[in-house]
Formats: sequence, structure tokens, C-alpha cells
Amino acid sequence: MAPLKHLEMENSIIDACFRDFCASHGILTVEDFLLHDLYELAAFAEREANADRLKEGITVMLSLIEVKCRPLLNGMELLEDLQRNKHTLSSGDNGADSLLQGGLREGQLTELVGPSSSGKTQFCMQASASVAEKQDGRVFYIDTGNSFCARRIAQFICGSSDAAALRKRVLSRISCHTVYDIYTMFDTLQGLEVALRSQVQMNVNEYRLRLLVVDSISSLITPILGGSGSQGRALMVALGYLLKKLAHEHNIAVLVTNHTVGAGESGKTKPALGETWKSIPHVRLMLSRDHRNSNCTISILKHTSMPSGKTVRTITRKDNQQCL
Amino acid sequence: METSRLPLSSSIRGKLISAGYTSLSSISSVSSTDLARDVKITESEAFEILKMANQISGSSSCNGRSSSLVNGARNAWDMLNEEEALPRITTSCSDLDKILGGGISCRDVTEIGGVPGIGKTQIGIQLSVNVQIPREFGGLGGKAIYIDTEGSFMVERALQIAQACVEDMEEYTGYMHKHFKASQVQMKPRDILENIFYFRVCSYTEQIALVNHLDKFISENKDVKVVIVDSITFHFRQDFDDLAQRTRVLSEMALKFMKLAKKFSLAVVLLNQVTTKYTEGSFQLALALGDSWSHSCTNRVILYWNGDERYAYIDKSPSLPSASASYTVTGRGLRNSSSSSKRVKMM
Amino acid sequence: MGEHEARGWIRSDETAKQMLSRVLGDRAFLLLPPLHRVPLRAGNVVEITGSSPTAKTQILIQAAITCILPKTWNGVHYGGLEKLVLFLDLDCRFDVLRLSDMLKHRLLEAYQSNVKTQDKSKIVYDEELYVSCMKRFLYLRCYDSLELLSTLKTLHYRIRLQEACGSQVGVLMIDSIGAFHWTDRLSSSLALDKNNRKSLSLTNVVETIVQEMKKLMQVHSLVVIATKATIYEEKYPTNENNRNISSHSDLFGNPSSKAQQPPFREFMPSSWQAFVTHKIFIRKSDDHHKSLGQQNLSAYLLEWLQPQLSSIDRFIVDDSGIVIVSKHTQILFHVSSSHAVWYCHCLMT
Repeated sequence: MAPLKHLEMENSIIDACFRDFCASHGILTVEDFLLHDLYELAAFAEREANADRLKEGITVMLSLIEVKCRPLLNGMELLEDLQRNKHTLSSGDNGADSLLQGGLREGQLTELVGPSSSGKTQFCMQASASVAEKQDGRVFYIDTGNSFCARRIAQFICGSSDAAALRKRVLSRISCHTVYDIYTMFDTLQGLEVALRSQVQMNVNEYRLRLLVVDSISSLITPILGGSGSQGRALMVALGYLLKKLAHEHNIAVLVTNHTVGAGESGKTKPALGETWKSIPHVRLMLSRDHRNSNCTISILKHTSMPSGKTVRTITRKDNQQCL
Repeated sequence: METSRLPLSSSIRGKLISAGYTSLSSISSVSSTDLARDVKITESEAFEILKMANQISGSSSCNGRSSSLVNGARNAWDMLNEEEALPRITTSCSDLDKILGGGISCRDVTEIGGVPGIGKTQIGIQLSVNVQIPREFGGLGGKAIYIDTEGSFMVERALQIAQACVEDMEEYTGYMHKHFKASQVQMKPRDILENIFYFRVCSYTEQIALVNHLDKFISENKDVKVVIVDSITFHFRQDFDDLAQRTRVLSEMALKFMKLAKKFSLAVVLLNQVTTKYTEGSFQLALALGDSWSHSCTNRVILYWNGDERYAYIDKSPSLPSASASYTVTGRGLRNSSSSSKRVKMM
Repeated sequence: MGEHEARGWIRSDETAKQMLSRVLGDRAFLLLPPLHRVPLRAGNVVEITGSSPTAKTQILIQAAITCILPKTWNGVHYGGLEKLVLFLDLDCRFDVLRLSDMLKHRLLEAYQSNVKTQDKSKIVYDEELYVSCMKRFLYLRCYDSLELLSTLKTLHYRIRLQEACGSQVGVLMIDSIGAFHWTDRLSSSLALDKNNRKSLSLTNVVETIVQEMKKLMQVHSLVVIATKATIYEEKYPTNENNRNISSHSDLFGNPSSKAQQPPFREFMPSSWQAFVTHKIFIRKSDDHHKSLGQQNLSAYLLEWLQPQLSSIDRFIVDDSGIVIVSKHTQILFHVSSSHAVWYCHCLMT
């Protein structure tokens, strides 16, 4: 949205005369218009000489706003969109898949929480390999800790036939981007949004982007969080919404990682980023690892369609012994 | 609002939004002159804003079928080939090198921590010497930056280790001469010392300032291949009362190290102290700076005593399995613990 | 237990309600537990506060199902209101699958309790009924306050279009009202060049939202149910015993002696607070609900702050939805002046 005069080009009714009337009530932009009581404004317009024209202008403005609004969907339409466009993607890990009833859902933001070296990055890389191999999807991996390792991803590829060609095919579907601050993060995501939109126009359907990984989102947000201003939290919320928007509109599964911080004296830990972030992700999974036997435990902290805390399952991550 | 995500000063952001420029598309649709007039900013400011907005909307691949969706993104296949070629800095202890996948990895931030006297500084000095091993000897032929916060760097010790390193290379050349043709060692221990850039920082503000300056410094001294911070913790354990602020400052610093490591393809080695941590009803030793910090590094190596022997344990790594190996600190530097049985490998 | 009580209540009150509906035009209705304590009528604004996750969206879904279900269908009693539900999703994480699953569950449940068939395999839900219910659920998502404002400005026309198909909108749900708090707070700090312009500040935005909703409620008879996630860390003692003792003493003492301080840090501007007529607070119970053969489920405690009720409901969420539990509870008999019913007061062990 923009200053009112930008609208004149397409809507002749919003002429200088109408804008003057609006300006006299403190309305210069579309946002100002939204903040005003339109009945009141119409009543004011009534008193003017060119009342009809002004009221027509208000109606045109209202219809312009309505065009921008998202359509009202009913339950069946929602369900149809879900069944047609939003599939579940296998995370490559049987334990996690059965816990999540199939895996990561497209359109949803899934958060992995866990202490250091609990297997978050491993989970992300395994999921990337799985989506690229089994779902023929593209993966966009945003790395903030230089921990993306193509060699490790290659190890997660399961298929045995024609290993080298498969390897190349799978790996070239995964793109990695390093981001070290939140502003670059916004640039990257907005660039991605533009790219995806142009892909939709060009009908690029083969190998569409299906998984977006951010490892880790907390390391980008922690430096700006806290302090007196609300800037940090506002950016955090904006980032969350941008990710959710991307996920919903382009049917992408978004996977982000978050770390844990100590909570009080008890030695317990809790997810970082605080209370506000809690209402951003659709699904929150807590990862922990027993260092004695390298068993991984995944538990649901929050899920949109499953009761939280319900299932706790122990899985053994495919060991990375063959790495060397 | 998209405008609020742009890296602008709050006054300019306020002006933009109150003039109705809340979305990037509304900004990029006008000329800089119009924007400057509407928003009441200077033309050059308007030009900068426009550049920013256009960059974001145009940063996607316009050529349609490019392999990456966004400029700057690399695909994993290319990265795989690159990773194979990535050099590693030897620790002069082959057992340790083995669990590290060949040495300290360039482009990673590696944190090494342990109790006092375990040999953290020794590893730091060893790495700043080893990074200079010439390419023909399987090294990197690079330079080192040593950031000393505790005052524990000893130049005599560095000279000792450098001498041992040169001797090893000469011995190796002698061995190679018998069988193949090999180049002569031209490096002198003093040259090695010359290629260690030493910074002594005495407060956390100096430390932050230095980290901010490193980008420029390294662009000017291109061959820097390792940055050692000994220790990252020291000033942050003493001068900070506000723990939340400490977390913020540290995590920002960690991201800067990440950026350096990636941009210049160099290894960042952060040495850390230990602290006691109360978990599950008992006190345990853990690396200092808390839980948030523990996520800030790519790799984490913990040094500990096992009886009389020193051990290193890979606590965290995205690409390496967790494993441990023993090492000793000798007069000549870091070596395998059973020093008589094996010779130092440099290839 | 609670569910049956509520059901029984609805049935026995039937004639009185019919009379009321004749007299008042719009009747008060009761929702399923845990919102069963207070009857709601058009014009009421219910706010459900709790940190995340405390099953707030779950409660909305459950209430929505009651609203979209018909009262009876093909001779089977479903006890619904047969009205439209408008769900404004500001958190953008509504899962339609959950709605669908729970609706199916409710349809089956009602069918089972009404039609006594021996053959279990014959119990299927009515597809036609299911579709018509789902179609009564209307959904909109907003990614920022400006979108919410434009939505509310144009909502009246859109609701009218939908109502042309038959049912009236009964409930407007907002999940959750504080979602854009921080982004709006940021724009509050913006400098404005002219004095007579309304700034995009948090107070102005919320004020306009409330204004638009009031206008909407003038033309449509609506109940508004909004959730609100606490955005500040809980600073109050989490020890449940403390809180229970205080509410316990209220039972026998002076109810107004209880501090008027809400058990969370209020962050919504006063215009919203004045708009709200009913307040509910939910928090996580410290101990988990254990049942045989199942894993630990988190238990939640629900408390009415406005009107202030002395009872605290303890509930869990399982696959079928919200279940009120009375385990580990001690029943205290207490006659409330407003509702002559037996209240069960839950005391944690």
C-alpha cells in the first residue's frame, strides 16, 4: 500500500479533490484510511458540496481494500487445499515420522529445540536428504553456523543403485545459503518469495521447493533480542510470520532449530527465544540425546493436531561412523 | 510491514511508513526524487533506500532456470566437491588429527575447552605455527592471528615449537631426499614468529572492537588461515553483571566469527574455560559461557584428564562422529601420547 | 462428568430457553466444557488467556463445533446451534485436520448415544451432515494488523454474502488477539509530521479494531471469543497450592477479598480490556495426568476471572478433545448464588 496519490493512476475517482478532503481529516495514506471510522468520514462527506463524488471515492477505496483481503474460506475448501497441496514429507527418520504421523507437513513451521549436540543439525540434514531423494523436492537450507556439510548429507542418501549419479541428482537439488544476521535473512527470504512467485507464473512444477531449513534461527535472533526497545521482538515476530506465509502460500515445509537455555537454579533447560516465540511454530519438537548410548529422544512440546506431551519415543540416529 | 524489516535508522523508517511506503513494491515503484520529496529525506538517502528495495526484489534469479533460487545460494553438489578440497590444519598429534577428520577444519568455528593446565594455549600456539607449514609439505602456507585475552601467550614457547616444526620438516626432507627429489626447507623459526599476528586485548570492549576490525585486517593480510582466541571467555566471565546482555553480545560475536570463517575460508579456534554446572542433582564440569554459547560453534572439542593422560573428546560436530583420542604436550609441542611409537605425520 | 451435566442442563432448560428466545430474540447458549460455567449471549466478548501451549485453540475448535452442528439431524440429537463460525486466524497456524477429526468424533459420539445399534460396524458419520457442518466454518488469516483492519472493515459485506446461503453467524473467533503486539509496538515509536493524523500506534490500532468489531456486533448478533497468549514470562509463583489456598478461602470468605490483579501481565491496551466481558485464565498444571495404557498428558487448570467463579476446572486434551478430569480432586459442595448447581472444586494433592 502507498500514498493515496499512487492510486489515482488506476482509479480516477481518487483525484486531487478527494485527496484534499481526506487530507483535511488526516488521511494521507491507505493505512490512515484503515484507521478511520468510515461512517464518520461518510458523514463528513455529506456536508461537502461534492458529497456524492466523495462518497463514491470512499466506496472505491473500500473495494480496493477488499481486493487486497484474503478470501473467506470454508472448512471444506480448507480441507481440499490441505489434501491437494499440503503433503507430509518424510523426515528420513522412522521414529520421527511415526511420532509426527508421517513427517513434516507442508505449510507448517516445525521447530526443533534441543541442547547443544542433541542432533538438531543432523535431523535437518537427514530431512533435506530425504526430501530431495524421495520426494523429488528442492531444499533450501539456510545455515548460520557453518555446519552444513554436503559430505554428511551424501551419507544420508539411502538408494544403492547407481550411487554416484543418484548422489549428484540429490545433492544438486539442495541449495545452501549462509546468513549471519537478521537483515540478510529478511533479504534472502524476500528474494526467495519473489523467485517462488515468478516460478508459479512460469509454471515450474518439476522439482518445486518443498523444504526450507533454517539452522539455527535462534542464533540470528538472540543478538537482537532483549534490551529496552521492542525492535528485536518485532523483527522476531515478523520473521516468524514471513516464514509461515512462505510455508502456507507456496506449500513448503519449514524446519527451524532453536537452542535451549537454563531456566533458573534448578538446572532445567527451556527453549530459547522466550514467551513470544512460543506462539509462532505449528509444531515444536524437543530433542535430547543420551551421551552414553547415543540414543535420541524426540518429544512433542506442541502440535496443532496432537495433544502436547503425548508421545515420547526413543530412536537411534543412523550413526555417523562411516564418516571418515 | 516490509519496510520495518529494512536495515534503516528508526527516524527514516518512521518517515517512510508515515508517508505510506510500507511495502517494498510501493518503494520500488517510484523514482528517488519522488521518494525524497514525499518522505522529506535527502535524495541520496532516497537513492540508498531504493537500491535496497530493488536489490531485494531483484535478488532472485531472473534467468529463470538457474540452479539456485536466490543469488548467493550454492547447491550441495558443488559444495561437496569443494569440501573435499578444503584444507585442514594439523595439530601435530596424529591421533587427534584422526578424530578431527585430518585436523582443524577451515571454514569452521571450533571451540576447544578444558581445565587450566590441560594444554589449551599449547594447542593454540601449535596451530598458529602449523598453519604456516608450506604447501609442499602438505600444509596451508598461511598466517595466523593470535588474540590473547589472558596474557598467556609465551613467545619463547612459540619459538620452541617453531624450531621443532622446522626440524621435523628438515628431517622429513632428508628422508624424502633419499627416495625422491624434494625441495629444501627454506623456513626459519624466526620467519614463523613473524607470521603470527599477535593482539593483546585487555577488556571485552577491546575484544568486540577487534573482532569487528578483523574483517578489514584479514582483507589486507590475505594469507591468514587461522584465528585463535585465547580465551574467548576471560573478559566475559569477569566484567559482566547483565547476563542477558552478555548472551546477546556473545552470540553476535559468534556470528561474526562464522562470517569470517566462511568469507576467508579460514579456521577460527576459540579456547574456552570450564565452569561447574548444576545438573540432575550434581555439579559437573562444563565449558563456560552457558547454554546459549554452546550453540555458537560449529565444532566443540573438550580436553580432559584421564588418569595421567590428556584426552580430547569431540563433543559436537555436524560432520564428525563423537570420539576421543589421547595426546601429550612435549617440549616440542603437541604429540601423540605414546610418542616413541609413532612419528608425526604431516601429510 | 462435566459433559453429561451440561447436556442434562441443556435438555431440562429447553422450555425456559424457548420462552427466553421468544422474549429476547436471541438466547443465551452454553458451550461444552470447559466453557460450560457461564451461559453466553450475543454481544459477549470472551477472552481466554494462557501461555502457549495451554489448549486455547483447542477450546476454540471445540466451541466452533458446537456452533456449526445442527440441533438435530435425521432424528439424531447433536445439540448444536447450527450457526456460522468466523475464525480469524492471526497466529496463522490453524490446522483444519484437527477440526475435521474432532467434528467426525462428535458426529459419531452423538450418533452412538442416540441410536442404539448393536452392530458397531454400522456406526458411520453422515457425510452430508459433515460437509454441511464444515461449510459453516468460515476461515480467514491475517499476517499483520493492517490486514486485520482491512478484513474487519470489509467483513460486514462478506458476512452478508455468506448469510444469504442460510445460517447466521453466531461466533466470531480470534486466535490470538495479541499476535501483532510487538510489531505494532514498534510502529508506535514512529514520528509523524502532522498533528491531526492518527498514528499507527498500538493503542490506535487496537482501538480501531475494537471499534470495527463493535460496529459488526451491532448488525450481527455475535459472540466474540478471543484467545490471548501471554507474551511475558510468568513472574508469579507457579506453586499451585498457593493459588488454590487463596481461591479456597474465597469459597467461604469474601469473594471480593481476592486481589483484582490478574494472574498474568496484562499487555492489551485499555480499549480492548474494556471491550471484554468475560475473562478466562488457563495455566498448565504442574503434575501430569496419568492414565492406564497412556502416556503422560499435560493437565491444565481453567479459572474464570470475570465473572469471578470460585471453581477451577482441571482438564486434559486427548485425541477426542478436551476432557474434564476429576482425578486427585476433592469435592467441595458449594452453592453459588448465581447458578444453583453443585460445583466441584478441584484441589490438587
